[in-house]
Amino acid sequence: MDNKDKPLVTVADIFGTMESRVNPEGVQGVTANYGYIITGEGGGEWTVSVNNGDVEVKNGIHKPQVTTTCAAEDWIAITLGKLDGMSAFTSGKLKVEGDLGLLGKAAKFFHKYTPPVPEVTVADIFGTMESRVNPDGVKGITANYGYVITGDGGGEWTVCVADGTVKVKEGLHDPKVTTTCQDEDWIAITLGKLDGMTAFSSGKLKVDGDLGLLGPATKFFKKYVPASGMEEEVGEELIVLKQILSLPQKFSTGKVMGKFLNALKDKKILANKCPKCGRLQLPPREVCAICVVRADQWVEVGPEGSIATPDIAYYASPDPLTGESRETPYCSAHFLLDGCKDHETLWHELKDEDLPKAKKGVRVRPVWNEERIGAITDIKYFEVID
Amino acid sequence: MKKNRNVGVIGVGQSKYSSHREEVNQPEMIHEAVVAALNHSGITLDDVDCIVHGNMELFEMVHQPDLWHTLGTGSYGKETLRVTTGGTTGATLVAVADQLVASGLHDVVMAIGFEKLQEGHTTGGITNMADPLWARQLQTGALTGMTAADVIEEFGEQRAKMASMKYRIIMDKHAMKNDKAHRRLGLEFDQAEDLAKNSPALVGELRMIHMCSQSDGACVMIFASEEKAKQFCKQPAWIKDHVTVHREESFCIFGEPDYVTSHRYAAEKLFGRNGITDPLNQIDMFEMYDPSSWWGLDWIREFLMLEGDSHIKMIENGDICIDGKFPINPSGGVTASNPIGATAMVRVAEAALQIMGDAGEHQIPKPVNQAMASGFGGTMWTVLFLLTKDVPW
Amino acid sequence: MARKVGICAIAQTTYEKNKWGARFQEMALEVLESIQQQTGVDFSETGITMSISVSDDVFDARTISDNAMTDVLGAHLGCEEKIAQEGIQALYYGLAAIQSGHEDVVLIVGHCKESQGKSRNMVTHLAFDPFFTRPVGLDFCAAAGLQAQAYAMKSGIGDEELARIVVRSSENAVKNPMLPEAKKLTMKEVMASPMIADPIRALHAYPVSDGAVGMLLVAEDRVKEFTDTPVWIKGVGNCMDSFFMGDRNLASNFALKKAAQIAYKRAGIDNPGKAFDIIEVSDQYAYQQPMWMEGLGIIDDGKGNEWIKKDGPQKNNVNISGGTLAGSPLLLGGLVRAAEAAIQLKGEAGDRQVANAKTALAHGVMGPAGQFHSIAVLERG
Repeated sequence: MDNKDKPLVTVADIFGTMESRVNPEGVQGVTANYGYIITGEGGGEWTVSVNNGDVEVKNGIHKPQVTTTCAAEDWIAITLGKLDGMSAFTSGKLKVEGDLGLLGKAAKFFHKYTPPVPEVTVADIFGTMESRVNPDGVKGITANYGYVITGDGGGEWTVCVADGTVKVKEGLHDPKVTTTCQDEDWIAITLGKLDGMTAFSSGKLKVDGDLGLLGPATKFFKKYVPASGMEEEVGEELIVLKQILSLPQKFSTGKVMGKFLNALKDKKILANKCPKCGRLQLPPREVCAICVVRADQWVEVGPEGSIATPDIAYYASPDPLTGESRETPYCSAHFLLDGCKDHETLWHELKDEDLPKAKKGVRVRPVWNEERIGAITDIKYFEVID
Repeated sequence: MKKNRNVGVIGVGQSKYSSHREEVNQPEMIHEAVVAALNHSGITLDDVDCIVHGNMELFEMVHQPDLWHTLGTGSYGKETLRVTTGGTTGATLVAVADQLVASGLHDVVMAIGFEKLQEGHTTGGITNMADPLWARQLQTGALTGMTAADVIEEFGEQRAKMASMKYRIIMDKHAMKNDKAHRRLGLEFDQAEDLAKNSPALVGELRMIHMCSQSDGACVMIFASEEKAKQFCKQPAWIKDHVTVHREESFCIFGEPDYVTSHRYAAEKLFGRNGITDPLNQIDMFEMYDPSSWWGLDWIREFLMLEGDSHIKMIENGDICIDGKFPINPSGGVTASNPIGATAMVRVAEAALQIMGDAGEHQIPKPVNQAMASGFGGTMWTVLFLLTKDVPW
Repeated sequence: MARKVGICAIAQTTYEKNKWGARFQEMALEVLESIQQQTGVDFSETGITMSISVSDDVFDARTISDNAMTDVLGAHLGCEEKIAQEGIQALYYGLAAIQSGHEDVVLIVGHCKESQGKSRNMVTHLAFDPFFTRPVGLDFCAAAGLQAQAYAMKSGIGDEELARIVVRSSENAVKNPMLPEAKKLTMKEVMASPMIADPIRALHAYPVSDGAVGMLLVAEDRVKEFTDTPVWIKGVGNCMDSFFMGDRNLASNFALKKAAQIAYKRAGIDNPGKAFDIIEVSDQYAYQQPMWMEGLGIIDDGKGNEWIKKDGPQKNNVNISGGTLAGSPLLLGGLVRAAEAAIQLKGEAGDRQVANAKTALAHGVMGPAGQFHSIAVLERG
C-alpha cells in the first residue's frame, strides 16, 4: 500500500491515544476492566483498566467485566462519530458480553479523538485542482492566475482558465494576477484554517495585478480533500440555508424630488433654497434640516462646476437592486456646481477616463444621456473640461 | 439635568466575534451572550423585568427579529422594547435601558445588540441606506477615502500614513489581549511601512488593513437601579450621562469650509453639563467607535476637543496604548470586531468592564474612575456616554 | 416618584390605500407642522430635544430607515431614536425618557407606506425564522387565520358576528375625517367577500394603508407652555409571548393579559370592566376585537361572541374611530389608537366625539397571532 493512501486513523491509534485523552471527571469513582475485541484487518485485542481515576490501556484481554466485540471499520466510525454506538449495538454490529451497565459510563471516559493531521503539500493542492473544477464557477472566465508559493514546500504555478476549461501548469505563464504567499499559509487557507481575507488584510497574502479577478476564483474549485481521504471534521448536523430574498418596491418621489428629477429631462439641475438661511440643497429635500422649514424656493445651478471631493473606489459593493458588482476603479465625487457655495455639493460620478485628473478644484461638466427618463442617471457622469 | 434615579451596569456578556459562526443560528448566538451577562451579574432571568433589542433588519433580512429571537433572548412573558438607529444602535440601546430604569418603570433591564453579518451582504445592506431615488448607485457601503485625504493634506503623506498605521497596529496589539475579538492579526510596528504601501486599497488611501471587519456576534448588558445594583454587584459602572447628536440626512460636509462634527458637538455638550474642562486628565479611558484607523485617528481630536496635531502626537507617543497616559480601545476597538448592531454597545460595555475591573487580560493597569464611550452611525451620528466608578448623584 | 407625562398635541395624516404623491418624509412633515401649529413648539433648547420616530427598515426598504427622517423631525444636531416595533411603544419609551429626567419635551412621529412594497404579507413573512416557519408559508395574515380558528372554537363566534364587527367599523369610519376612503359596508358585502385565511374574509382584514401619526409629550412641570388640555399617560404595559405558535394556546391571550395586568397596576386601575370611557384596540382582523377585549379583562373570558351579539362594542365605546380595521398601517396600529383615544379625551373628536370621556385605553399588537401586545392607559387632564 502506497504511504499516501494509508488510512491515518487506525484502531491501534485510537487505543494508543486513550491514556492521553482521559477525562478525569468521567472516570472518577469507576473501577472495572473493559475488554475490546476488534475484528478484521487492523483489529486486535485491548483491555482498558479503570481504577478509580487511573486508566491503563493494555494489549490483550485481561479479566474484563464487560467485553465489546466489533469490526475495525465500525469501531473507527463509532469513534469518529460517524456511526452512532447505540445504533451499532441495536443493529448487531457491536456485541457486548458481561456487565452492560458499565458501558454507559464508558461513554464519558475520554475526550474526543482527533485523527492525526494528514500531510498536505502545496504540490498536491495544485496537482488536484484540475480534478476539482467547479464548472459553474469557471464559466465565462478567461484569465491566467499566477501563484508564487514561498518556503520549502513552495513553487510556482499558473492556473489557466479559458471559459470553462482549466489547466494547471508549473511556472508562471502570463498571469493577469499573481498571488504570493508562504507555503504554510497557503495550506492553511486551502484547508479553511486561515481566512483568506484576513491573510490578505494582514499582508500574509499579497496580490499583484487585477484584484477583481480574485473574487470569482474562490468559486473555481470544489473543496480540497487531503490525500488520506480524511475530510476535515464537520458536524453533519450543520446546514447553511442559502436564499436570495427580494421584495419589489415602488418608490414615490413626492413633489420636491419629483421636480428635481423632472428637470433633468430638460438637462437642467435645480436646487431648492431655504427661505430662512438661504442654503441651497442638492438634491432638493422637503425641508432645510438646519432651520426645519420647508425649502420652497427653486434655483437653477450649474451645469458646470468643479470637483470638491473625489473618492476613488477600488472596491465596489454590489448594487443592492441588481446584485451586480461594477468595475473598479471608479470615481464618485462631490461636485460644487456654479451658483453653489460651501457644502452645497452634488454627489455623482466622474468619467472613468478622467480618473487621473480627479483632483480638487478641477472644472467639470455633466454628460447627459440621449434618452432621459427623470432619474439621477440621466446624467451619465461628469467629465473634466480641458 | 438630574436623573430621577441612578442606574448602574451590573453585567456584561459577549459572544465570540467571528466571521464564521455557522455553528449557531441567530437566537443561539444571542443566547450565548445572554447567559454570559447573567453569569457576570450573578442574577437569573427571573430578576430581569424588561428586554431591549436592536439590530438592522436588512442585514439578515428578518423583519422585527425580536419576535423570533425570543427563543434566545428570554423575553417570553416579559416587557420588551425594540429600538434601532443604524450603527449607533448598540449605544442607543444603552440609552434606552438607562432611561427605562431611571424612570422607575423597571428595576432591572437587559439590553441586547446583535448582528449576524455573514447571513447577508453588509456593504450591500449599508448601501441600501442611501436614498433609492438618487444615491444608491453611488454609495459604497460605509467606505470613503475622504478622511484619509484630509489627514494627508493637513499633516503630510508620510506622517499621516505612519500615524494611521501605528494606530491600527496598537489596536491589533490590544485585540491580541482580548479573546472575544474577531481579528487578531499579530501585527508588529515594523510592518507599518509595508502595510501602508501594500495593503489593498479600497477607496483612495483607505486600505483593507485600515477598515473594520464584518463580524457575527451579540453583546448583552444588564442595568439596575441603584438599590438593586448595590445588592447584586460589588462595583457597578454607573451611567452618568449620555448625549445623542445626529447630522442631517444628506451629508452636506463635502467641500469648504470646515464644519462642526457631531463628535465635537456631542463632546462639548457632555463635558459642559458634567463639569469636564480637561478631558485628558478627568477621563481615564475611552472606548471609541472607530470604523477605520483613519477615522479613529481623526476623531481623537474631535472627541477630546483638541486642536492642531496633538491627537497625532498621542498616537506617535503611544499615549493611547493600554498602558499609556490615555488608553483608547483596550478591547481592540471596531477595526478588530464589528457586529454592527452590537458594535456601539460593545464600546459602552468595554468601558463599563474597565470601571468594574473585570476586563481581564485587557484591563488597564491604572485606576479607571471615569470612562467615556462612543457610538457612530447613520450620516455621521454620535452617541456619547460618560460612566463613573462613584455613584453620580 | 417620577413626574407625570402629558400628551400636549396629536396630529395625523389621512390614511389611504396609496399615497403615491408623497415620500414618507412628506407625510411626517405634515404631522410635525400640525404639532408646531397647535403648540408653537420649536427645536431650541427649551423646545423639542428628542425625537422618537417609528418606522421599519423592511417596510421602507431602507437600512436605517430613520436616516430619512432626521431632517423632517428636526434632529439635525439633535437626538432622534427609532422605535422598530409596534408604534405604541413610542409612547412607552417617550414616557421613560421624560420620567428618567433626561428629557422634557419629546416629539413622536411614526410613518409607514404599506403600498410601497409589492405585498405587506411578503414583509411579515420575513418575521418568521428561515428554517421552519418561512418554508411552511406563514405571514401575519396566515397566522391570524390559525388564531381566528382557535378563537372561534373557544367563543363560538361565526361569520355573521364577524361581519357585524366589520359593518360597525365601516359606519364609524365614515365619520372619521382621517379616513377619506371609508365607505359603509353591508352585512351581505362582508359575508360575500372572499376567504383569505379561513375564517378571515377579505373584508375582515384591515386595508393596505399609508399614513403618519405624531404626538408631543411633555413633562408635567412644563405642560402649560404647550396646552391647556393635556392628556396624561397613566400607565403602560407590554408583554412578549413565545415565538412558535405551536408552543402557545392561540386563544389564551397570554401576553395581552399580562400586558394589561402591568398597565393597570401602574395606572391604579382595579376594575377594568368599568374603568374606561373610550377603548381603542388594534383589530387588524375582525375576530381580534372581541378576543382582545377578553384579554384586556374588560369582558369575561370566552364571552366575546355574546358581547358582539349584545351590541357590546357600542356600549363600551370601542373603536369609535373605526379602529385598525378601517385603515391604519400595521406598524402604527397602536399609536394611531392612542392618538384617537387622546383626541377624544382632549375633546377634539368632532362628529365622533364621546361626551365626558375621562379615561381611555389604547392597545397595540405585533407579531404572528398576537405574539406581542402593548397597552397605554390615558386620562384627561
